[in-house]
Amino acid sequence: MKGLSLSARLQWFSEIRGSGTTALTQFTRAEVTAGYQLKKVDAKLMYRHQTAFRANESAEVPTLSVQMPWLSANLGYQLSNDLRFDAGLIQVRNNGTGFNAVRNAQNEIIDFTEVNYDYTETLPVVSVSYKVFGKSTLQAGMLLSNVQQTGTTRSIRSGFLAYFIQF
Amino acid sequence: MRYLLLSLTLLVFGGCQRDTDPAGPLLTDLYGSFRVLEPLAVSASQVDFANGEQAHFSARMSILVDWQLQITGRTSGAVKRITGRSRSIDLTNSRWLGETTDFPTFGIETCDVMLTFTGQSDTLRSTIEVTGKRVLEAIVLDNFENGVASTWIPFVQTGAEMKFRIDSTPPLAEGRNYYKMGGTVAWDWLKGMLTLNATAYNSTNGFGLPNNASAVYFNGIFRQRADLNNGIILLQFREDDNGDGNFNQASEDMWSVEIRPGATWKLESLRYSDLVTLVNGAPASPVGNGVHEPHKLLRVDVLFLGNPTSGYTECDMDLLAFSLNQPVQP
Repeated sequence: MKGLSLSARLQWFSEIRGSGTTALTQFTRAEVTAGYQLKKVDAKLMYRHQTAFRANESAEVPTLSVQMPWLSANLGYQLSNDLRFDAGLIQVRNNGTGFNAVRNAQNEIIDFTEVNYDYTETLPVVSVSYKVFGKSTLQAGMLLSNVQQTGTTRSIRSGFLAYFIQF
Repeated sequence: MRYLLLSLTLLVFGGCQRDTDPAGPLLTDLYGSFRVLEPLAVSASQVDFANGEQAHFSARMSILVDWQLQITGRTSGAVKRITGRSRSIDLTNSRWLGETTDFPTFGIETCDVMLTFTGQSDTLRSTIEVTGKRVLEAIVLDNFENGVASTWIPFVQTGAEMKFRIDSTPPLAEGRNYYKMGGTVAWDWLKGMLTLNATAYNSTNGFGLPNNASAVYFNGIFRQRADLNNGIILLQFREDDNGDGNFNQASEDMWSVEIRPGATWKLESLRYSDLVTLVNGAPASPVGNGVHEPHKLLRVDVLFLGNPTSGYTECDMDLLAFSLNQPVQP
């Protein structure tokens, strides 16, 4: 179908130095993106499943296991050859058990605290991009982070200005 | 070309030296269950500190834990505490040279050793017998074990209930005796004093102190009667700046410090270079050359003061001594 694009990506990463154990945390990421373009309008939908896992050696130490399913939707409009408007929504779910590292002034880890993640972060974003010259782009936008956790809601609004050079 | 780059990348990545020690404390130490793997043991059943011997303790636990070793003299009641956070207790973290944490000092006696762990109910016990007392590395002016040394020049004001004498009533500090100072002098702050001239201490070498003031400490153990708080011990150190064998208060330095003792025996260790000039208890500019020169120390005075309107006042002191490089460790 003309204007439709589909892509899939699988990634795997590993710690190179264990945190609090010799076992290394493994990270995986599976991602599917579908895009559709109709004249000056394009739409993208992405689903990503990201995990972090480490089976701890001792039965007394909780296993590190965090799941982060992402859902991202974006609608873009090409205002002119050089100017573009985007509006998107990203939703990330965090679920599982992990460890927060407590560091001292020398940035050394001095303690770990067990954390049970169970929250959803929603990030609406709008931006305007301007192609300055060649393959460089200037982008300005606004991002809102809204975290919903049992009993609490945190909200952070951020403006951003970015300059990209594509090689 | 693509395969060459890939190979180079793999080669660089594979050739990297990486730190295989885990970052941060071990999670098994933080979340594991506590067990004593090796019980408390003492390096020797008897220790003769007077002969330079030392003792240490050993034990092994399953996780990193905060621990405390407490050694208590059965006769003296002296207490030494050694604390640490580790998975094992050994020579490196539990060496005992016979010193005391809570006075009095240890005597020749059997001591109970108790090992406890923060957050755990386990208590491990053992004993050790002290067969020789620790020898102090210090220039001892007096520990009052054999009365007040004849080298001191005592002065006692005229007043009521004047007590300037040796006492051995517990609680003790160092040894069996200490010096008690007390009395009511309604017309003067000074109740009494002890003076020690360098020449009286040693006619040839004086106090034998080096010229590096930051390496010299004056130490003393003091306390005040529990129901009183009006006693002040003023220590004065007079220097012979010009080397004429005399002290001139108009042109030579006198360094001082005021101590207001609490109700329990406490070791005060004062670095000589931190001493100041005091005028009526307030810091003032030095009168002499302004340089701390312990090798020129001519005289030490211990003055016992109290507000004349505050009534009876009483303080005790023990083990007056200079030490070099570090505070004395009785």
